[in-house]
Amino acid sequence: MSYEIFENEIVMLSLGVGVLIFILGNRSRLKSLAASKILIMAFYVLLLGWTVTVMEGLFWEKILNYIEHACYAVSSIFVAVWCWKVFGKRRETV
Amino acid sequence: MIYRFFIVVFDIITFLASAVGLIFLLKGWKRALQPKTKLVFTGLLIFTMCYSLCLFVEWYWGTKVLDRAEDVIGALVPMWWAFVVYAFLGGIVEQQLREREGRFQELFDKAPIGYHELDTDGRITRVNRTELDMLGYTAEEMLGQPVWEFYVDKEKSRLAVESKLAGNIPPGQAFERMIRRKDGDMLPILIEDRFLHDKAGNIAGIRSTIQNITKRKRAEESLAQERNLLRTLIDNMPDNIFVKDTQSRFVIANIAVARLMGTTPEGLLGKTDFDFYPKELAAKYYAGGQKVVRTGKPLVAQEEPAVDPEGNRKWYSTTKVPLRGSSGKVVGIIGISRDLTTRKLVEEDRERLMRTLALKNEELESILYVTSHDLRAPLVNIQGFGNELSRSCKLIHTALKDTLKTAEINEEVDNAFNKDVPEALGFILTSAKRMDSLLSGLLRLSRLGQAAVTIEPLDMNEMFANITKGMEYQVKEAGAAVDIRSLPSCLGDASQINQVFSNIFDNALKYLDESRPGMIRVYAKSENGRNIYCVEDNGIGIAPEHQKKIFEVFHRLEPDRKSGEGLGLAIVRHILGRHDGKVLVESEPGKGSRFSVSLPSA
Repeated sequence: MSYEIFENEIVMLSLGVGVLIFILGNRSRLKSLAASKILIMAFYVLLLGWTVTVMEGLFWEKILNYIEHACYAVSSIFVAVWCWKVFGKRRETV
Repeated sequence: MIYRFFIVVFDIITFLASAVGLIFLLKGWKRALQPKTKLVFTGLLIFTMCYSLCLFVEWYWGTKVLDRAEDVIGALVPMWWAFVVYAFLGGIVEQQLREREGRFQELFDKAPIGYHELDTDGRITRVNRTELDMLGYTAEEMLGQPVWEFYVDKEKSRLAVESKLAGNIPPGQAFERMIRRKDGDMLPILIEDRFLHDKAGNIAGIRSTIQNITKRKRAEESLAQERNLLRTLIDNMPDNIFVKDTQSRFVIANIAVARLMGTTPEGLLGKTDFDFYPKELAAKYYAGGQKVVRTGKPLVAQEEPAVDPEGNRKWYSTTKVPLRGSSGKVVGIIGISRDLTTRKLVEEDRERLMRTLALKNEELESILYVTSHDLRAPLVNIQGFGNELSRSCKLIHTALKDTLKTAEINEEVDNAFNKDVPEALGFILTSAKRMDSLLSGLLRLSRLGQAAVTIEPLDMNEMFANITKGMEYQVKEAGAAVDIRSLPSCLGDASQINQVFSNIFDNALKYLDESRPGMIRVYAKSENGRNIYCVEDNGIGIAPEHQKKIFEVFHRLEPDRKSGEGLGLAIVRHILGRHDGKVLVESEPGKGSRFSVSLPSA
């Protein structure tokens, strides 16, 4: 069994964890953002994808690769929904 | 193959979702978020699309051509998420600042008082909506103008503003000014200033608050008018009016009080009665005032002595009532006192006169009693010795008749003893008898004044029945008819009231007209808690000139024809005087008389 972990994947995960910490630190202020839960959820799912892509180098390569790409897709859908809620609807302020 | 298919599908979904999000963002670009934030977010969407495109190329065609780009873009995506979050936070802070500023602006504009700021030249640099509405100007019309241009007294205002800016007038003081509205109306306002300082601490301007005090001014004027009216009223009242605090110090006093104390109303303020009156008198006033303060109950119409500045003794009727504060607690007393000195002097005079009168009456009654009683003894002697003298004369006459020889002497002696001496003795005895009768009447009258009066309810029907029964013989003798109606009861002394109506009834019988059948009617009526008993006859009547005199002592209508001492009606009046009663006569000569006696109802 061979382990294949790519550097770029580690960098992505590290940056993602950094962003997670930043988000958690400013959670209360971010709540004032419109539909903030959807956007934060999109990030969490994306972070899961980055985690999974690191883990696929260790085990269950194919399944975790599926999950990785699925996470990217779900995260993008959440972002699209957030864009629709914020920019698609008539709102004056955020 | 299926494995790759699903991955490619996921990558396509990622790409398309990001593209849709980008479209929404671009279409609703103006609707939300700061431009900077939107740009950052746009970058995130583009990077996501690029990353998904790289993944698609890799998995659809199985080539590693874009691996390098995939690595770089893959690293940019989380980095861009960090930028996005940062931009959002910045936008949120900015938004909060804007909201805070908006709230401040709203507070500034919609404050209940006017605000404006001046620069160091006294020109208006900022003005709020309230002040604009208050004065009727637009912001453009006020901004940049020297503030004194809007005041009625421009020069005074200019000097004041310049002095303030020069630091000559300390801040925080309030000034009242008249300001001119755009429509020309003048508005009383209250200005309060605060200095604006630059970073070096120098005066950079003034921030002023302006309050419209029109209502307050009107209220003050109204209050001043009311106070003036009240003061005028109080000062022109002849009564003494004062207000004292709980320590009995004068707070308000009118001119009458000040005059009594030999000072002015202002001179009384803060002082107490101890500063003006003898200690004993002041202590009495103080005790009365403190009682009102302590109990909260008024002292009404209390008669108090006083001394005026000349040392004259005076009397006042004083009413002291508690003055309560808004909490209901007694905070002082209000006093009103009226000068009773004249009344008191009159009362004292009257009392002195009454005492003198009572003494004189007692003296008179005593003299009357003693005179009438003691004169009877010598009178009895006159009567007795008169009779004795008459008998002696007869004896002397009989003796001399035989002794005297000469006819001339005999005739003279005979005349003296048979005519002159009996006639003289007859006059002496008649006069003595008359005097005895008069003295008896006087004695009766004086005894009546000393007799005790026992007031009780009297059955007047029974009383008149007894009176007529007692005079039955006289009634038959006079051939008179008597008609007595139902009579209400009254209050009085049974014996004395019986005497009253007996005398009146007796007079009615005595003075009937012999030329027509006599008729005596007795009836009564009640009004205002009193009964009026009427004894009416169809006798000879009383001439008007006699009607007032018939109640006098010893006055008689027909002294030659009718017997009596002329005391009956005098006794009636005397008795009724002691019963709170009255007697009235109405009469017409030749037709009859009516005696009305008023007595309290039972």
